[in-house]
Amino acid sequence: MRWLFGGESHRRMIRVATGLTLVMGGRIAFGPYRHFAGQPPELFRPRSFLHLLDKMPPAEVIAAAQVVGVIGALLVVGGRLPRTGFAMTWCSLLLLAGLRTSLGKLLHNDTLLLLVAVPFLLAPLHERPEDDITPSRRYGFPIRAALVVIAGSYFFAGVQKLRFSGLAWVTGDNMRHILYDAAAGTKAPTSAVSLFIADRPWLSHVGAAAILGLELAFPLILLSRRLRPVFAASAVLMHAATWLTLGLDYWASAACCVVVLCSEVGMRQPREEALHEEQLTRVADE
Amino acid sequence: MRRPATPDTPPGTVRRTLVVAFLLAFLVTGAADVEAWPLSGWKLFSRLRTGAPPAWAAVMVDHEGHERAVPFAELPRGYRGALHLLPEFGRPTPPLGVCKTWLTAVRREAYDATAIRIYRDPSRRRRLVHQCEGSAP
Repeated sequence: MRWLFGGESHRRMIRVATGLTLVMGGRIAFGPYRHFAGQPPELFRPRSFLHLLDKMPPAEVIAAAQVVGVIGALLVVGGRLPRTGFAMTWCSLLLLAGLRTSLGKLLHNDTLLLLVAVPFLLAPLHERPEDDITPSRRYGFPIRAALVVIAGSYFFAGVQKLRFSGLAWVTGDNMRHILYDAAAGTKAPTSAVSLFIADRPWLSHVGAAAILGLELAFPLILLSRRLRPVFAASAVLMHAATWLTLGLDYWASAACCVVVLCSEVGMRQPREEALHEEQLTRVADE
Repeated sequence: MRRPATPDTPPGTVRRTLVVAFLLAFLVTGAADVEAWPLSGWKLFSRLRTGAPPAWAAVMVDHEGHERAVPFAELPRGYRGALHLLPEFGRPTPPLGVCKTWLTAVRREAYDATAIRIYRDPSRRRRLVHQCEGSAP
């Protein structure tokens, strides 16, 4: 609990909040949401709070939600009413992503982004301290809670694979079947990569082991700051490969990892804090 | 914009409580495999793929009686979750309106379809579960 409410700099908090807002704003502006309008009510399968709706909203409502989300993002990026703007953007994405997952299949495309952003809804984004690079307990919790969410989401994804499939997820033909199914479909930009991997059993096993290993190791980001950019790069690689082989859009999760896990890259810290962090990292790494 | 009261004031009790409550909900749903969207049980490709054929199929029947798979990928976005609705036809009260909706949609895309049939175990002991039909508009 002490760690969760430890200190981070205001500048870093704003950097992460702005990064998340840009990702959410991009998803809202360029997502396929308006194509959902006109869905017959018989096909609408609402999730959680969307049970309040009896059918897909009309195109005007979906467009209005997109406009609200983009205006909110502009407010955050412009530094005007950032708390209100962040909440507008988050609520907009929550509704639009909720509509997307009400088409029939439970989707996780925007789940990590939405959850990582939750602690920032409570963050004092509107404050402007004189010293914005000295860590303060006031600004640490959104970043640290976001780290817990990222670590937990990947870790649980790995645990569920072991729980429902065991080590056969890696050692069996599971990955090859996933790739052959994808190659037979039309989602992926090319079937060449899927087939290249699936036709080589050893490569399929290596790929599956790498995915499972990465997911289960993700909680290490809570222990070592130095490892965070490495995990961010690995996550980007994994999601890029997922898009290339299966055609699945997990770019929001990849961007989320980059924004949160690389938020310290290139950031100056006061000398004392840097020394202190170095000591902590050394202890954790040992 | 506002300046904080003191530089290192910790967050208040309400904020702390809400953050802890959120993280607890996140951890419990993740560990207990509960889906309460956007909170998730994180079952991403967690079930083994065995290469077994799909358990359900929806086919459309043309005027000559030939069957072919319903081209869901060519229908508008709102119809793309169709394959996840097929198991609902195994329920005691199947969603009869869904079948009619698909038939209307494929006709709108200029396909020759007089009926849609829903099959269970299409590649083994194929069993017709439901059929909806209607005259062309």
